[in-house]
Amino acid sequence: MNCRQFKRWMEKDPSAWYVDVRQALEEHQRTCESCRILWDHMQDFEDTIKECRNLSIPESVNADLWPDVFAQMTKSPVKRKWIFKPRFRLVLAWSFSTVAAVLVLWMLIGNPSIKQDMGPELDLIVDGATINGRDAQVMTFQFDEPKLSVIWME
Amino acid sequence: MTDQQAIKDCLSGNTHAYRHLVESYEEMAIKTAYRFLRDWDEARDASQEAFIRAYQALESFRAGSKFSTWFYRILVNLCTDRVRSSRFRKSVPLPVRPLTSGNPGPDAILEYRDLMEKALNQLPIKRRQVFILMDLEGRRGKEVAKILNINESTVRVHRMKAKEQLRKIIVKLI
Ligand SMILES: [Zn+2]
Repeated sequence: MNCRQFKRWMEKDPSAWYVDVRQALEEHQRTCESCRILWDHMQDFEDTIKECRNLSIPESVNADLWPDVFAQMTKSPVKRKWIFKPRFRLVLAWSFSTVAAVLVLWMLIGNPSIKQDMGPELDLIVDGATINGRDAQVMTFQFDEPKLSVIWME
Repeated sequence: MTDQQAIKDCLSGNTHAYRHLVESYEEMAIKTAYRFLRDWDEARDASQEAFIRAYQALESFRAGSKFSTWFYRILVNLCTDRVRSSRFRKSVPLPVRPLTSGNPGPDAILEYRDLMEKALNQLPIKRRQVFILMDLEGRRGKEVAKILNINESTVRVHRMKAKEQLRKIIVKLI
């Protein structure tokens, strides 16, 4: 290995050195003064990286975040998430409306038993009344239950 | 109390249960944020914001996954956004003189520390994220991949390139 090759390998991460490359590098730095300095520097650099893992927060920094976080939390609560995604929500809404519409139509025109039942029990009562000093007609359409009243003011 | 229990309690309305999560991860969060932002006040502020964002999004946290990984993803993204903002964009110039007159040793380590902080700014953001999380924080590739939401093999490539870029800077300065 020559000095140029040595320098090239030094630029690469040691994890990329093959076993024979590592052996050649170690051998070269033992015999070449300038490459040994580079070798030692790169060792120091690797040590610096390891040393950087030991980081401590300065005392001047208040590392207790809870009071500030809690104060913000009360202002902005958890965002409630929909159980269904937007497109499913749309499909769901359509399905419900369709089912509801079909049900109403079926009740009004599709089910003869309801129509037959409605006929004989429908009562219309028209009464005269005075509401707030004015004459009024009160029409009450009465099925069995419930009662529908229409007040006609004259 | 476990993280999962604290999350469950929070979601059922007990906001004080979140304290367990904040107190478990606040120190690590500030340190991680500092490695990105190089300013302790900024790091504290970013960590605080990350905890609030995580709290607001707590319903989207998938039960069964690790809170710490999910939280660090929020924190790292937030720090990255701040790094990208104009305030942090200005690059710090690297020294032009040789390192410690060519003498390795304890002085060189101090100098490397300073140099590395400056050189880190020159790395593309993904390489910087991977280098900080793996080399400076000692996290494993698998965890880093989960935090950054990328493949483990991509993590390895970014790490290798980050190391090479930094070593090239050093070699040039010797
Ligand atoms: Zn040589």
